[in-house]
Amino acid sequence: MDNEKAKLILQAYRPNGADASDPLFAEALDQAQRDPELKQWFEQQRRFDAAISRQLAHVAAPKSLLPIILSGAPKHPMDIPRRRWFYHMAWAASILFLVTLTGLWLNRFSPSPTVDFVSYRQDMTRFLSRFYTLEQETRGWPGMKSWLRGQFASETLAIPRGLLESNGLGCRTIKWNGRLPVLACFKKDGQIVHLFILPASDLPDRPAAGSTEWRQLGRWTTASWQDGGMLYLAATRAKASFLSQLLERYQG
Amino acid sequence: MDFEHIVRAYYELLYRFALNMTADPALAGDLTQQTFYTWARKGHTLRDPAKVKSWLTTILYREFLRQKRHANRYADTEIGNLEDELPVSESSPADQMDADLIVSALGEIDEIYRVPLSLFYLEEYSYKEIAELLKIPPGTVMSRLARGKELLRDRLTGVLKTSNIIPLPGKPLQARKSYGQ
Repeated sequence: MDNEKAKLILQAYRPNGADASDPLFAEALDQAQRDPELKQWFEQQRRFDAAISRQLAHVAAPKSLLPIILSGAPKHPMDIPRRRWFYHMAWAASILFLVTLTGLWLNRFSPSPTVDFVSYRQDMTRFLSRFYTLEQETRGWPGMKSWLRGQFASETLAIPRGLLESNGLGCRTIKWNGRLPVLACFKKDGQIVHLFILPASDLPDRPAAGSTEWRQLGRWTTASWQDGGMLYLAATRAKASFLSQLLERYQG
Repeated sequence: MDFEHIVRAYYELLYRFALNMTADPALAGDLTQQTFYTWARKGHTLRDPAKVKSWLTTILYREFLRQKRHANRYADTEIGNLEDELPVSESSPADQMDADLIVSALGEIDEIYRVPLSLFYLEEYSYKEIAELLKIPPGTVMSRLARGKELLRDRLTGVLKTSNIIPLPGKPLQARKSYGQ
């Protein structure tokens, strides 16, 4: 083996020594011990690799990422599928049925997407069920407040006090049928509460002022109300009583 | 294979891999989330628990390729003012800056070198595992690592002339002296 070949092999040798027992590297490592020039090159290479790995290992994922991923955890333990033929047939039939249904549905509704409060509430919880990132991440309410002010410069926001006293995770905007609702995320007692804010005038059939409309959508508990010209939609996977407690403090 | 256990075990690793590939924290977060979303739906099809890491990495890499093909979707992604709000890492500010420089330099390298290089520097994947994951021969992994490191050194050399954080092998002594060594 010449030095060029040895160098090519040693380039793949991980700096933490995890490849020490791999026979492919044995000859090249042995040669590096015997050849001073190759040895010097390899030592420099390892220093370089170790420095890069060390620096990259310092990169931390955003703190909000873990709770957001975990908030999408499956409710039931994942089972190993039973591979029986009728399951496959059932799946195929279900898929065929869904495809047909979707085709019919799209054919009927796609020309004009529904823009009303019910579809807004449904679409926002669907949005939460998929995963998302935040444009603005924070460690508290003050950071979120200034960001939200930038989004609704001329409006007055009335965030429930119970949420203000929670940990703020961050915010983002969402594009929805030509509207730009804003999502603000909070964490309280290990539960995440998502608050969507939209100018009330964007949805003519919004809940009446002075009342809170509660609705369970799948695993999402939602509460909607309007205040000061803004429409608020809170959604959480926690129980309704938990959300109610946060909002009661506001209403009180 | 409990969802939370899997997430806690691998989300940092996957985020780093995604960040090394995209050089964009928001996209890296998206990729990481999407990977676990796929795991939540399809993870039950994996029979061998020992392959969770490579399964997740493969999913993330495929998702990266898929999103790249639909890059016009990213036109809608706006990054807010993150400078003051990014989470504090355990490292010192100087270390964090250096990591940022490396991520940025990696981002400038052609993808065919960047991806194996990113996996290599995570130190979690052998050249054989990288070859399997990227579906390329082991010899190609080695040559891409060699060329990728050369490119990375070139990118970093210009930036590091005023600092002294990383020794750069294979450069003339005169050049290395300017790094304070």
